Amino acid sequence: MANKIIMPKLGLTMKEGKIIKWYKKENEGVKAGEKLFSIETDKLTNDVEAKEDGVLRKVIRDEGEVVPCLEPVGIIGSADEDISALLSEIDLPQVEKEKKKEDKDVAVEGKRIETKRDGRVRISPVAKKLALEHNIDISEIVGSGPNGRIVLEDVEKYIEKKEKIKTTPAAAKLAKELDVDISQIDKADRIRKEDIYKFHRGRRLSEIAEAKEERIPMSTMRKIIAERMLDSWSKAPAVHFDIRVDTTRMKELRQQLKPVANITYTDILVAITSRVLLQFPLLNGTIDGEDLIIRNYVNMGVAVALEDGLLVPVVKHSHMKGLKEISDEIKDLSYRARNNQLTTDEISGGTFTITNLGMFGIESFTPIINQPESAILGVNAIVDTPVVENGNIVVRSMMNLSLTADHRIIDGAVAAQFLAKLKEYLENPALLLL
Amino acid sequence: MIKTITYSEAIREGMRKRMKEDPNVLIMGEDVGEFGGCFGVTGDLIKEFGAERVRDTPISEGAIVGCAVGVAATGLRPIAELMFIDFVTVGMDQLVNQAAKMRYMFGGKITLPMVLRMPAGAGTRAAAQHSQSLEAWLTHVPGLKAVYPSTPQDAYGLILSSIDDDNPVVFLEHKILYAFSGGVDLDIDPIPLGLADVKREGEDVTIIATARMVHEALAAAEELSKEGIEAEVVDPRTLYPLDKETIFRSVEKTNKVLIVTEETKRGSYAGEIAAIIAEERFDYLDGPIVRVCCLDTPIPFSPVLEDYVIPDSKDIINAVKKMF
Repeated sequence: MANKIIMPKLGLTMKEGKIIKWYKKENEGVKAGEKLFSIETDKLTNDVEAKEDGVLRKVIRDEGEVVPCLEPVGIIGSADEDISALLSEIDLPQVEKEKKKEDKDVAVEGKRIETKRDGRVRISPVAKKLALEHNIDISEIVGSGPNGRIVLEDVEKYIEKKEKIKTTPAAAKLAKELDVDISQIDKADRIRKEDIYKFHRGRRLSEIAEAKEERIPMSTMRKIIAERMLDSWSKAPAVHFDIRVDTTRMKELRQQLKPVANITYTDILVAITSRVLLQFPLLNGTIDGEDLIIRNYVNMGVAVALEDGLLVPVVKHSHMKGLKEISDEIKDLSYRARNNQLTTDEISGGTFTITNLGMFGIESFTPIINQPESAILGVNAIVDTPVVENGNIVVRSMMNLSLTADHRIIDGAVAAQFLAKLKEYLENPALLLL
Repeated sequence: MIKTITYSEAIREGMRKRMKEDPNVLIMGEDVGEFGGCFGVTGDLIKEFGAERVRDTPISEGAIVGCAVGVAATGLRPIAELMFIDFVTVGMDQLVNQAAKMRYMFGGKITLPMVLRMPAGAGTRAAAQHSQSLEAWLTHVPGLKAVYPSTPQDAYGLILSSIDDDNPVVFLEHKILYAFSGGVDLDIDPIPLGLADVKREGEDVTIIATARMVHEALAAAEELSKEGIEAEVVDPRTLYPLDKETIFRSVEKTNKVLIVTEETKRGSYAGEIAAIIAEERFDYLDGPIVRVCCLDTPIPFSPVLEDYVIPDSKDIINAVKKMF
C-alpha cells in the first residue's frame, strides 16, 4: 500500500527543511532503514530513513526545495501500484508549478555546465573514420576546418607526424606502461628507453611543482559554523581567563565510581559546573536587546568534534542530573552527533558550553562563545606538574580551565569568582554533597 | 559525323532521327506545327512529316498529356510538348494519376512509351509563372523518369533514349540553354537513362549540378582552380533514375559535396541527392553537404531581382570557399 513520505519534524522548533539530496531515484527499490533523503535545517543536516520496504514511486519535491514540516515530499509503494489517488490528494498544481520553475533553473544550469565542460569534439565523418582506423584519440587533434572542425587533412597530418616517430621496442613498451605519449617527446632520432624515463620524470616533477588551487563549496555544517563564529566574534567583546585546577580528587572520584560507571572528566565537569553556574546566573544568562535573561536552570552544551565540523548537543537541566545520568546522556548524544541523528531540539536551548581539547594535549586556549550564551569553558589536558605545597615541591595532576566570557554581561571579578568557586568544587567534589 | 548545333537543334535532330526510323513516333503540342514550337524546337519538322505526325493541339495541358497517355497506351510513341513546365500543374492529374500509374495498374500488360517535353528554368524575364524549376514535383512520382540535359550532345543522346523508353519520360529542357551550341555526334548511340557525366575532373570538391547550373559550376570551377581548388563537376543528366555510383565515386574521392540546382532550396531534388549521399556515403564526408539553390521566393519579374535569386558562379565560388 502506497504511502506519502513527509518532511519530518525533527524537534519542536523545526518548521521547514531543505531537501539536500535524494539517495534514491524514482522507481528505485528501498528497504526499511535505508537512507532515503537528506535534509538541512538552519541547525543541522540529517538523513531520513525509509520506514518501510518498497519502491520510491515519485519524488514530489526535488533537491534544493524547502518544504514545510509534515508536507509530502515523495511517495513510497510497491512497483506497480496505482498511486494516482494518492497523487490527487496532494496539492499537485502548486507543486507542479514550483517544479516547473525549478526545471527552468536546472535547464539553465545544465546549459552553463555544458559550455564550461565543452567536451565535444567536432570532427567530420571521414576524418572520424580514419582516426578510428588508426586508433587515434581525436581530442589531441586541433581542427583546422570551419568552426574548428577536425577535417580529413588534420587527421592525415597527425598520422604522418606520429608515424615519423621511431622508437626502440623497449621504449615503446615502457611508454605504454607509463602512459607516455611518444608524440610529445621532442627528439630527432630514435626514441630510447632513457627518453621515456626522462619524459616521465619530467612530467612527475612538473606535476609536483605546479601550484594548484581548488575551489570547493562549503558543506552546510561548515557554512553554519562559519556564520555563527563570525556572529559571536563580532557581537561579544570576549575576555579570557585561565585557572589551574588540581585534579587529584576528580581522579579519585573516577576510580571510586569505576565499578559502577565509566565516568569521564567531562562528565564530572558538566555536573559540577552546572551546579556552580546556579550561583553565578550571569554566566548562565543571555543578553536580549536591553534585557538580560536570567535562568534558574542550566542546559549544558557539550562540544563534540566531528570529521568535518562540530556540534554542540545539549544536556538539558544538567544542574539536576546525577553523574551517571549525565554520563549516559553525553555518551548517547555524542554517538548520535557523529552519526548525524540528532534532532534540532537536542542541539538547541543550551545556556552554557563546555569544550574539551585536553585529549590533544592542549594546555590553554580561547574558545569562542556559542551564541546566544554568555560564556564558554575550555577544558585542557591534565599534566603532572611540580607544585609547591606547604613549602615542599610535590607532583600534582594539574589541569587548566580556559574561560571565555562576554564582557558586556560578565565583569572580570564575576568571572574570576566563578572560576575560583569552580576550582574549589572540582578540587573537593565532596562539597557538592553539602 | 560531328556537327556544331544548338541545344534546341539537337533535340529536333534527335526527334527527326526517330521519326524517320519509326512511323509510330509523333509530336503533339501547342504551336508545334506551322509555328515551329514556342521556342522553335520542332522547327520545320511539320514540312518533313506532315500535320498528322506533328500535331497542333488546343491550349489545354490536361488534354495534351491525356492525349499522349491514350496514344501511347494504344501503341504509338508520342512526344508531347508543353510550352512551359509551369503548366504541367494543369496536366498533373493525367501525368501523375494516369501516365505514371497505368503500366503498373494493368499489371505490365501495356507499355506507355511517351515523352513529355517541357521548357524549364528562369532567366528569360518571364516572371513567376513561366520560370519555375519543378524537378522535385516530377521526380517525386514513382512511374515517371526524369531527364534534364545540359549540353547539345547530351540533349541529343538523351532524347533518343527517352523516345526509345517504354515508360513515360519527362524531358526537361532549360530555356536559356536552347541557344547554347556545341559539337554533336549525330551517329552516337543513345545515352542510357541513369548515366551521369563527369563534366570536369577535380580532387578537392564535388559539385553536382543540373542543366544550366552545370555551366555555372564549370565557370566557378575555372575560377576556383586559379586559387588552387580543383572542383569536380558531376552532371547527373537524368534525375531519375539517378546514377548514384558516379556521384559516390566522386564523393569518395573529394570528401566534399556541393549541390547546385535552379530549384527553390526548400523541398528540392537537391535535398534528395544530399540525403542519398548522407545516408549511403556518410563516412566519406569531410563536412556538411552544401546546397546552392534559388532563394525561397517565386521568380521575380524585375531582371535585377531575377538574377539575384538565381544561383550563379559567384554564389558557387563563395559556397565552395566556405567549405575549406
